[in-house]
Amino acid sequence: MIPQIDIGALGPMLPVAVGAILLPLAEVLMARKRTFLSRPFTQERRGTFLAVASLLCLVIALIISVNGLLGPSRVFNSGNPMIVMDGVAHFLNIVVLLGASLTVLGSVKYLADIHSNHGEYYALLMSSVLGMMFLTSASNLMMLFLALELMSIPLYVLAGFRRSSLRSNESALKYFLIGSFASGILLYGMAILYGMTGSISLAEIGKRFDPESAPHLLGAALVVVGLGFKISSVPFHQWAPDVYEGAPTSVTGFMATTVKVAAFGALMRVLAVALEPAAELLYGALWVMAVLSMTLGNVMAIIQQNIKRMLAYSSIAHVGYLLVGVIVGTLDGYAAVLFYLLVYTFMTIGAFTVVAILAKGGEDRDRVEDLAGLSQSRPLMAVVMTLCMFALAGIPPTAGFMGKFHLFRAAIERGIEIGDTSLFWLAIIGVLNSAISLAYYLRVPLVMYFRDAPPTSDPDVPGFFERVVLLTCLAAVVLLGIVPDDIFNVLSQTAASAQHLLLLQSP
Amino acid sequence: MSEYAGLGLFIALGTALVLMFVLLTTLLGPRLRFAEKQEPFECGEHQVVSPYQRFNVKFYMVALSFIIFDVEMVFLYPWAVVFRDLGWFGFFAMLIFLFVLTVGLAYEWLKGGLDWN
Repeated sequence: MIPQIDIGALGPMLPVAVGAILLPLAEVLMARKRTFLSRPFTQERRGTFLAVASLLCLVIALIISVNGLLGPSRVFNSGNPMIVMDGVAHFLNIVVLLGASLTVLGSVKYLADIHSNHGEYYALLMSSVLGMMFLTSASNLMMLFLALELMSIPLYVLAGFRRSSLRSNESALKYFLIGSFASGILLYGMAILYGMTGSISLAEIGKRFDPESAPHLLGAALVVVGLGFKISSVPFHQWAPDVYEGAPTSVTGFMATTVKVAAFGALMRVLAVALEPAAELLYGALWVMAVLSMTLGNVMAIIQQNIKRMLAYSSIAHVGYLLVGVIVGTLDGYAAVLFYLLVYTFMTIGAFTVVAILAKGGEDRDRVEDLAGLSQSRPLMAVVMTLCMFALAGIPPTAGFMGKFHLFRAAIERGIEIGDTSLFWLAIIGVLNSAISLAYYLRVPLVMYFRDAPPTSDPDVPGFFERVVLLTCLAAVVLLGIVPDDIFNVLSQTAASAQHLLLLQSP
Repeated sequence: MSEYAGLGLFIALGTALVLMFVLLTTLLGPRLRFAEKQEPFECGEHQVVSPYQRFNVKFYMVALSFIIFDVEMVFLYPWAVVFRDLGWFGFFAMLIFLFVLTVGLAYEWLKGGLDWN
C-alpha cells in the first residue's frame, strides 16, 4: 500500500520549494517588524535580503543538480514513475537554475528603478522555477500538466508586476488569456491520448500509440500545439512580442529563457517517448513550424524599434533553430538542443540585463536609440551587449556559433544517414536565416559604438549584482564558444542514458 | 420488508421534514417587507445593475481563502478513510500539505487580507 519513495530524487526541488513557501512569510514579517539590528527595514533592504535568500536556495539546488548530473538517474516512486530525474532533467534544471539566479541578481536594482520593489516577486519567481524543474522531469501527462501550470501561473502575475503601468497590465492579461487557452488545448489533447491509450504514463502511451488511428493523431497534434504556444513557435507566437514588451525587463529575460528551456524539455520527452510512433507525421508539422519560426521571427525583428520587442522576435527565431534539433531526433540532435538552450540562456539574459540597467526613474529605456553612445559612457555594458548580439547572430568564436554549428551539423549528418533532403533544406534555411538576423543584431553595436549619445542621456551605473550578471554572461558566451566539445560529448552521453532509462520505464 | 423500504422511508421522512420546516416558517416567522427582502437572492450586492462596474476586491480574497480550505477538506476526507493503511507515511505527507496551506493562511493574515476594513 505504501509506495517505495526515494525522497532524495527530489533533492534539487526541495530548496526551491522551501524558498517558494517561506519567502512570502519572511517578506511580511520583515514588513511588520520595523527594525532589524537597530536599522530600519527599508523596502530596498528588504528586497536585497529576499534576493540573497532566494539566491541561496537556488545555489543550493544548483549544487544538488550538478551532483545529480554526475550521479546515477533516480526515480521518485519507481512503482508509478511520475518524476524521473535522469541526466537530461538534471541538465535542464541546471540551466533553469542558472537563468533564475541571474534573473534574481539582475532584478534587485531594476525593481527599485521601476518603483515596483515588492517582496512577492522573489516568491513568485521561485514557484515558477519549481514548476519548470518538475516540467523537465515529468514522465507522466498528469505531472506534466501540473508542472506547466505551476510554471505559468506565477508568470502571469510577474508579467503584470508593474501594477501602475498600462503596458504591463496588457501584457499580463494577454499572457493569461493565451496561456490558459494553450493549457486548455494541451489538456484536451492529453484527455484524448488518455482516452485512446488508457494510460497517462509517457512510456506506456508510446507503447500503445497507433499512428494509423485518427483520434490518436488528434490527441498528439493538440499536445504539440499546446506546447507550441508555450515555446512561442510560429504560428502560435502572436502573444510573444506584446507580452515580452510589456512585462518588466527582468521578467522578460526570465520568460524568454527558462520557460523555453523547461518547455523544450517537456516537448522532447513527449515527442521522443510518448509520440515516437507518430514521429514521421509530427515531424512534418514540426518542420513547417521550424521554418516559419526562423523566417518570420528574423524578418519581423528587422523592423522593430524597441529592443525588448526585437529580442522577442529574435527568441521566436531561436525557437525555430531549436526545433531543428528536435526534428533531427537523434541523440546528437537532442544534445545539440541541450547545448543551445544553455548558450541561449546566457546570451539572452545578458542582453536583457543591459536593457534592465538602463531603466531609470520608474521608466524603461528600451528603444534602440537609448543605447546610443553607450560605448563611451558605460564600456562594460556595451561590450557585453555586443558580444551577446554576436552570439545571438551566431558569429564565431562566440558560444552562439558553436550552438548553431552543432544543431545544423546534426541535421546534415542525419540527412546523409537516412538520405532525407528535407533535413538538408532545414539546415540551409537555418544558415540563411542567421545571415538575415545579422541585419538587426549588428544594428545594436552600431548604435552603441558609432552614434553619439544625446546630451540628456545619463545611463545608470550597473550595481554590484548586475555587474556579476554581466561578467557571468560575458564569460559564458566566450568560454562556451571556445571549449564546447567536452561539454557536448557529455551531453550526448546524457541524452543517450536518459533515452535508455525512459524507454525502459513502464509502471 | 424489501430492501427498498428503507429508501422509501428515507424519502418520506425527508419530504415530511422539509414540508414541516416550510410550514413552520410560514406560520411562525416574522414578516418584514422591504426592498432588499423582496429580491430573489440576498447576497449583499444589487441584483440588476450594469455589468461594467467594480467589485470590492475583498470579495475575491474571501473567495480565494474559501477555495484553499475547500480543497483542503476535499483532500482530508479520502485521506481519513485510508489513514490506518497509510500509517506514519500518510500522516506526515498530510502534515506537510497542511503546513503549506497554513503558511498561505499566515501570509494572508499578516498581510492584512483578513481585515475587512
